[in-house]
Amino acid sequence: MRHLTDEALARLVDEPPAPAEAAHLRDCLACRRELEEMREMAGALADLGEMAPPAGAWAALETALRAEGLVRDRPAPVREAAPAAGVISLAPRMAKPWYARRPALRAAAAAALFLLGGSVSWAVLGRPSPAGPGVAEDGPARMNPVYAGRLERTRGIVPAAGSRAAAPLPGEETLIYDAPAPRAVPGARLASTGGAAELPRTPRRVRTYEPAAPVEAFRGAAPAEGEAVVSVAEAELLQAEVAYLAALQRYARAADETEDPRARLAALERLVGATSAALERAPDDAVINGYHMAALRQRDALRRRLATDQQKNWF
Amino acid sequence: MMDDHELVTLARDGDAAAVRSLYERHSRRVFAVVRRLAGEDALAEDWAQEAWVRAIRALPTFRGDSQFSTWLHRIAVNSALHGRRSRDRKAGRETVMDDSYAARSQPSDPLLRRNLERALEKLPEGMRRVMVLHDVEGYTHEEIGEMLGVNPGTCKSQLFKARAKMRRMLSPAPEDAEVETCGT
Repeated sequence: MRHLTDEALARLVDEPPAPAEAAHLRDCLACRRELEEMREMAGALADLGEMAPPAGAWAALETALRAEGLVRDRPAPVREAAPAAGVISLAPRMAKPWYARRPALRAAAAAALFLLGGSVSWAVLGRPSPAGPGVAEDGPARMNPVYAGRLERTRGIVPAAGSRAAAPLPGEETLIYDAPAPRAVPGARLASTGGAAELPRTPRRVRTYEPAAPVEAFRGAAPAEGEAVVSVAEAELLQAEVAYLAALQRYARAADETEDPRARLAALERLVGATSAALERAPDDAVINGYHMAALRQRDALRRRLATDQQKNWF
Repeated sequence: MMDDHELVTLARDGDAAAVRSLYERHSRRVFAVVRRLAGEDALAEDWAQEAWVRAIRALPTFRGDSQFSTWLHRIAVNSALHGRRSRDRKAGRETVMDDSYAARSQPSDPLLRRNLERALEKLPEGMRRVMVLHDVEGYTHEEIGEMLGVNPGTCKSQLFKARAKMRRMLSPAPEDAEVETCGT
């Protein structure tokens, strides 16, 4: 009587035996034992489980991913809570202002305003952006009205309309948007997920600004005077931040409103680049994070759609 | 702690921390399958890295229809099966994996486990692939046939030969083995 072959036993791990094989197994202890061993081996293989990659594997992978531009460092998670309806909350940033953490941000904001405010329509879209609520139509210098609904906390100093990030000139007329603003334009496709400062719709014109004394004049001054200097500086820098957000928002709107997918993609690419650069300097800023994430999603979705369209319409 | 879906959303945008978290969560499983298919460390390291790069690169196409672990595992298997020569080859259909994989008990005997791993390494490549995919990873013959481009019958034949060969490798020395005669 011949034993079952090893391959036959290996098959019987998964499959029922043929009648002759079953008869043999009934009579042959060795084959039964061998089949049992084979089953145990297969079971042990199924339980082998996981294996730790070698030390340094992540470092090598990270290097490769960065070389391809597939990953980048990201700022801390968005921590700003959604403000109440119609209220643009600046409280988190006021508690620990960005400029307090990184003084260079003021210059960055000014540069960003210049880049964003002055180049949206002309450099990207090739035409002026549609004038919307709170958007002046008389050129780049007047394109950045700022939202001041919460600026009253900065002692009544409100920013000047226009792309200027620094304090307005003495007596300059200022647009103040003091009506609670919606958080997003109805039907808009792109808005900050971090609490974008939507421009309000009913500006009023006032003259409020009095020239601030030079900082040098306060050296050695009394604490109250020093406080005044700090307040002015705080207001100026807050203006820069708000103006920057307004510029970002308009950029997003330009990307949102254009129907030409290529122009829209270009606008989104610029928005991603601008917000990415800003996040390197202000990684904790919730609003910029929100714009960045929204722009990334929109850009990637548009890229995929364009790629799909290209495949479908190759002719 | 964020779940895979949330991490994937962040990783899709290039968030290095999210990618790192996904790596820490799944790297052992990925390396295990790639290592066993490769049969050697150096190749496994290359293939595992290739699998991760391919997966991160393809994240925008991951729709979430299956679990991320299933999707990633399939990419790892494909990377190992096809190596660097076919990096542009499209991934095939996915197989729903057992999510309890990570919690599966390993052979309690470390010596048995080591012997199994060594025996796997010694198998011819074709047999090893089929055995790893079927007995270790739980793919069906139809799925393996599709991955390898062979029919399920060929896959079965390879598996039975692999089991037989492996059993011989794991068996005691001939003088100690059960022998020729049958007994009841």
